[in-house]
Amino acid sequence: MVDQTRKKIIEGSTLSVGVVLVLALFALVNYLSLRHYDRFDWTENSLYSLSEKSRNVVADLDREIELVIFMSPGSQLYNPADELLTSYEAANTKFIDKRVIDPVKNRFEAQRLLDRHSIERSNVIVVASGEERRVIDEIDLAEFDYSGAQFGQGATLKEFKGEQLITSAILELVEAEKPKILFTTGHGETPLDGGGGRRSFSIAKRLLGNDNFGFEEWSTATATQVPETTDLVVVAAPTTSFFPAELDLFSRYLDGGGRMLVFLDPSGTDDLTVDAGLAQWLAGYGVAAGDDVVVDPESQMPLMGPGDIIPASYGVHPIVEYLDQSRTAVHLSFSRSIRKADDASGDLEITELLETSASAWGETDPEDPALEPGDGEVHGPVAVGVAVSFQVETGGEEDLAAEEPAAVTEEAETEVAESAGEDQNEKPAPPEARLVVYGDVDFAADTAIQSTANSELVMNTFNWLVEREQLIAIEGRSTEETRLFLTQPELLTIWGMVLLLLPGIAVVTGVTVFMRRRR
Amino acid sequence: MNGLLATFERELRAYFFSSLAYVVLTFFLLANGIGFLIVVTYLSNPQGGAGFTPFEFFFSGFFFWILVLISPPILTMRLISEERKSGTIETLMTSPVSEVQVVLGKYFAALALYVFLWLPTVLYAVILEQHSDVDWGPILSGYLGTLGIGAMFLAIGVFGSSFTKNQIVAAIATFAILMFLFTFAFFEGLVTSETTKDVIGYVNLLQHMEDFGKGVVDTRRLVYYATTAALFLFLSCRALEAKKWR
Repeated sequence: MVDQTRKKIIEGSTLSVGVVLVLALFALVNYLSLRHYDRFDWTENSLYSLSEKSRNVVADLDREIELVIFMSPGSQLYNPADELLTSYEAANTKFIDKRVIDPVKNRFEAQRLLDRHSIERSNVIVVASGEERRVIDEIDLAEFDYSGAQFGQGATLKEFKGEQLITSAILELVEAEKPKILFTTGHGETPLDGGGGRRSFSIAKRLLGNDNFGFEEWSTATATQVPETTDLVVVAAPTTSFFPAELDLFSRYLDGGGRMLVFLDPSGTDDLTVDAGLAQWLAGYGVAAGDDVVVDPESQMPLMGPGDIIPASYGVHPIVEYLDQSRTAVHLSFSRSIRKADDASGDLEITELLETSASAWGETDPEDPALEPGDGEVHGPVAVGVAVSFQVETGGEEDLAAEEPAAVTEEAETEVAESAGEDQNEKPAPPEARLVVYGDVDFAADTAIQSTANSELVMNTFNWLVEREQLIAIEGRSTEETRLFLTQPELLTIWGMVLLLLPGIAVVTGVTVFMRRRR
Repeated sequence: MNGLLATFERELRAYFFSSLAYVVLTFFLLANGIGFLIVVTYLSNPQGGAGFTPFEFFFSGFFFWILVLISPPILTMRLISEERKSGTIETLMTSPVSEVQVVLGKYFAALALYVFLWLPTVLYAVILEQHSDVDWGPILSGYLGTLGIGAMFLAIGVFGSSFTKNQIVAAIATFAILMFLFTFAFFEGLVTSETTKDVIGYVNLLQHMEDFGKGVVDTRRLVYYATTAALFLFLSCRALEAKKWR
């Protein structure tokens, strides 16, 4: 009897301990699952996936980022914002933490957030890292469609732009400095900022500002060198010539590992193109800038002239890789031919980015009413943009020797020798100079940057030139209204199949089974 | 393994050779059908709203949750309690079949019936595809979520059934536990503590199915379902084992 009782106690204790251990294991596994998880998007159009670029930015994080939705759940943007921020958190659970604060229900938490980040309004998304933060207003997160207002309908969500803004905000927080872009002035260039009805880059400036670029205008007339810490120099369709000293300044900058973006544009005056001295200068870098206007009869669009072209193919290059894969078109208007020169040096890596169809040509006499390819003109496919890169020559071993400290003891000598050996083995790669030239400026200016995928081409160009290949313009997600377009007979058919046929089959099967069992 | 298979076959035969499965299936299809058709009719109306797919609502609507909360207690209430009431549990426990094999065999039979109930609803998507574009990704993820939640609920049902001889009590106990888990969804907005909110969000079944219905498969959900099912099946085995000593 005592033995039986003892046995029951032992078995009961063993059982209890087992249950406790299993409960602990259950809690541990779920805790780990809560901290480390992943989300998979099974939709056809990857509606709930971060773009590859956002994922790259997030994957490279080395500091904690806090994403806070400070919005009422009743807001139309709450759900897409919550879904998006959850995707960010899932992409890097180690460094990204998402929080949701309802300004109405969580007043205490709301007030703490307002005080901590010096925010004066609700319905925002806060992207914070340490003491720094960026605040994104609800109004900037999306575009709405108000066309239904006349029928008494409310605004419908047309495009959600949260990912672009949040990734940009994260970039701003983690990058030590903004890439500095200088736009040259003094030669009739297309200005950075608009006004007075002039063509300008104000839209590009805003879009690139979202990617944390900094812009300045820079007069080359009296400059002796390109300012230090410049990441990119842009020459935007000059209409008057550069002095040789200015071109020499560009050469020294580029040959020292600098980055330049040059827009050439047919002038539309009696002189077909304005040379500005750049064509000859570009020839030194393997770029042939035609004195022509590219005409492509195959890519003419309604209400547009022969000078409007949609490139038929893209080169193999990071700038246009995404455009090529997604089969997205860009639109250029009155472009010069910009090609790889026949005598380009082998040290230069030159890629023709955009090419017309084979029926195009570079017209040197647009006044000619016949408008057909002539002798001496460039025949299609004609390139209208190129990218050039080359390794910059750096100092040799004498530089290393100059840096070695004088050895004092035998031990120090060995250490220095070893370190010199290591330096030689781990010598950093020589800097790379990059140059992109386009034969048109309108596609990047306010006139046409928002046409087709021009803005993407512009963003990709800038990001490649400053070596931020992991970024492209992350397009806003268009929200498609899901509707079913069913006729009345179709609807009735569906009703019949779902409510009568399927349950009917179940009833018949059940009755059959019942009858068989009775037998 | 043989014991598991034998138990599984026996239970499956008991389900499908009785009219109960087909009665449940008929009402299941009627309820699901009504829910599905309400959404389809709404989205077909040009004056109606839009913005979600039929299956987003199908996997998170009123009829879905009614069926998911009610069917597991019904499917599992007799699994062990009936054997205990009729006295066959003692025979079963003395046979060369372990408690684990018995529990798992019965559990998988209930799971098979659960899948059998939901399987015909895939035809809704097939029917709809004849008249409209259908993205199968969210549909498959929706069914994955339905299966995961069902697997968890059925394990809880087996546990409920292992504690009593009375099927009704087993069903009510199971339903009570399921409702307890389900109502966590309504607490998330009421708490202010970040940790508590995270925990409640982790078990918020409404949010889970909203994600699955949209096409988002989150590993947290799958881990939660698998571990909870495993926990309750373990507890069921321990409950049966404890009965042996009495």
